[in-house]
Amino acid sequence: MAEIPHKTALSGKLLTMKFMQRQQEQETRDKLVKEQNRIVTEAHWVIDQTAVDLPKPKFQVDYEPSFLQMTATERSSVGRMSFQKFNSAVEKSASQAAGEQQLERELKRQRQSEISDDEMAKEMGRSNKAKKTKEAAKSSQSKKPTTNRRAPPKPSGGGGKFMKPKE
Amino acid sequence: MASITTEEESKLLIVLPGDQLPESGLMEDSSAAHRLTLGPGLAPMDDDSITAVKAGILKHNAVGNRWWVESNQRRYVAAQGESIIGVVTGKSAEHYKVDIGASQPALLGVLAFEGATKRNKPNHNIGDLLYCRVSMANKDMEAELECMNPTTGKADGFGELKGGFVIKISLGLARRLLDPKNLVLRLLGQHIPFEMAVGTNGKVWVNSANAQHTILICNAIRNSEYLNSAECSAMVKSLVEKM
Repeated sequence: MAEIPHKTALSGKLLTMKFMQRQQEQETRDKLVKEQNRIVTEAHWVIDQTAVDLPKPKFQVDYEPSFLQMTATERSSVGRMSFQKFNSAVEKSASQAAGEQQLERELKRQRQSEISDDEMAKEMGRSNKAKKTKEAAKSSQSKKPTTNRRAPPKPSGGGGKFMKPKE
Repeated sequence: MASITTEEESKLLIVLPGDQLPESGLMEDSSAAHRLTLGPGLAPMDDDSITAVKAGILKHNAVGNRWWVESNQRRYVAAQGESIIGVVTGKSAEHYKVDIGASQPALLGVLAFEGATKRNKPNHNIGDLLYCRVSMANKDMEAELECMNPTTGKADGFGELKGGFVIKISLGLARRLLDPKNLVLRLLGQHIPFEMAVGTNGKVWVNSANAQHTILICNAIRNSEYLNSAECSAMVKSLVEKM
């Protein structure tokens, strides 16, 4: 077999054809996009939060800025009041509101003392021995040190990938 | 920073800003898995402790493991769900600007009234008194008000207050007056027919048949702030006798 001295190169005319141009364009586009990604990734600074292992907060804290909500379980609060039938509409609505609030408190108190059917079944089902072994297992679990510091949410973890900050 | 030791239930626990709460005390009602509801006057600090930020009496409610500091002040800070008395200071196309005694005026939507539509809007002038409910409040924005009950859509006592007289009292006294079983109001109601509205922002509106009654009621309310029940009844009695 005779040696082919020249390299097999595509002819110039072939290169000008549409389907070859499309391929070229695709390649250049990919290259540009990669370049853009690289620039953008380097411009965005992200703190590596896996290194800083913040412990879970001790208490879960809910905030309630209103004093009235604190004492709602003990006393009613009625804004408008009327005495000796000065304004009978207000008197009626005031006594209604007070009655409703008291009813809610009573219901809440009742519901607290009640135990749901599922929980009752659970309690009955567990034997004493099973209860004791469960408690022993729980206490022996090692606990992480806890703080109240509100930990910022951990990212999904991209490693070296570009993580776009949420706009 | 001072640390507080929990004392017996019957004693009043007075806290000053900077006093830390003991964790063992806070976990007493920990049946609900370490959940804590902090009311006004308490805040968690950087070193993971709960610290008082206001001076007052530390209070606790077992329901929901609530802790708060019962303090008194005169400047109102808007909180959602509270009923307040406001004065209209400005009108725009969509909102009324209402002065509620907070650091910023609050906004009351023009349509936030019972049965209000674009065609049928209530018309309030500058200087009108309104009894409203705070529908949204946070420390970064102006509070928003509404003049109706959000669940039913009815007025329920909210709206314009016509006539009468407004006095300014401390916030602690205003909260005590909201109790329908309040002693001063009940005693006054036995002698004088009147109506009133209490705003959690420290304003009380009183309306009665003549000026003498109104002045008597306002004086009685102001005087009752630091009196116990016996002194209160004596005070009301002496005022009524002079009438």
